[in-house]
Amino acid sequence: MTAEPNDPQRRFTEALQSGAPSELDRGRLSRLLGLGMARAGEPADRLARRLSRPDGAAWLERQLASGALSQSSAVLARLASGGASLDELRELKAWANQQLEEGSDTAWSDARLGSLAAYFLAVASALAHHGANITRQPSEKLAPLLERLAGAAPTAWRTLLEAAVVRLRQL
Amino acid sequence: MAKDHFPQTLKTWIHQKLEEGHRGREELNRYVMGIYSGPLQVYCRGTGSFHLGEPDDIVSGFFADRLSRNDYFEGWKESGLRLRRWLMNGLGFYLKEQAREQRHAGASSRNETEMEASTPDNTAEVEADMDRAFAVSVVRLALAETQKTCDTKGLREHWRIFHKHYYDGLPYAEFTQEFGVGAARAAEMARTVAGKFRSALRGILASDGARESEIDTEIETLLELSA
Repeated sequence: MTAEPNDPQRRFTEALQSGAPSELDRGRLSRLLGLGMARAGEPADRLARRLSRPDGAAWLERQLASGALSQSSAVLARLASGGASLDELRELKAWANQQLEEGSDTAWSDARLGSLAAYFLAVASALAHHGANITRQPSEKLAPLLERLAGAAPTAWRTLLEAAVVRLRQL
Repeated sequence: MAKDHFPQTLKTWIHQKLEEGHRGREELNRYVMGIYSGPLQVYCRGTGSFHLGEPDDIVSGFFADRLSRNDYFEGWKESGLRLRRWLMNGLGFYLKEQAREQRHAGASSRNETEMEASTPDNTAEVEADMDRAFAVSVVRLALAETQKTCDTKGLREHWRIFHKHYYDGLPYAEFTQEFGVGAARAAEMARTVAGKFRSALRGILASDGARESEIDTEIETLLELSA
């Protein structure tokens, strides 16, 4: 099929050809542009920094097993394996989101960071195991956040987060 | 690296370069041509001004004409526009000037009709196309500056890991063996470079005239256009 002169795909390709080497395709462009965001990454960066500390893995397990999150322990236990249904993941994400919104502290307490971790892990599990983006965030914004967390997370969660990023790029 | 060469905004940097005389002016012009040539060629195509020549020739002529004017960047500073919009508007005027010159030189009536079409009737689309090309230029330059910084600071392995993960899109587990590091260390190395890339990219957008508080919104707009 021949592209029309005003076809957006053709115009975009021309823009790429004139402005960059052909290998800088749409996916790469979005991924790298998204990396430039500062505001959207702040909470995820806080969580990544916490996970990067020597006791990061133990800290995360503790957060997921204690406090308000312990109510969701059954779902949390099935996140990495893919045993949680999409409805359960949506529910967990909404619940974690609610915890985040209700938090009045600005210092990002352990409990709040734990809720943030549960939020991202539910999102990652939905992507990795069900191929569904259950957030309203577009992939180009969500992928850099998940990547930053994957780089800091303990092995089991890193695998899940990386699988989520790979799947996100295919959506 | 943007941080070294472009303190805070290009407006500040431009002042500095203009005050440095001929050499500073040349450096400034090289930067502007490097980042805006591609986007302006896209704009040129969008105007349908093919009768005036090839887009790269037209844009080169435009730069030669406008960037030699001493007050060109003063005009931009007073306009409050993003630099890419200022240059785009300037190119629009330049195309009309070129069309008039061709008319006066005795072009055929067929070409006169074509010349009248130089102003695009799909301005919003053409501007969006130009912004997409601008996004490409920004990312290219940020990558080049980041690589240069990594070379200078002895972070070549960091750069290669960053490139594999963020540019090629490979999970760490797929390539870290060749670097002799674990995935966690590789992620840490890539994050170091990602921070430098972020600074470079944001520095370039600041150079276009965006304030720090506007840069995330600017990136969101470019992301939407590129999606």
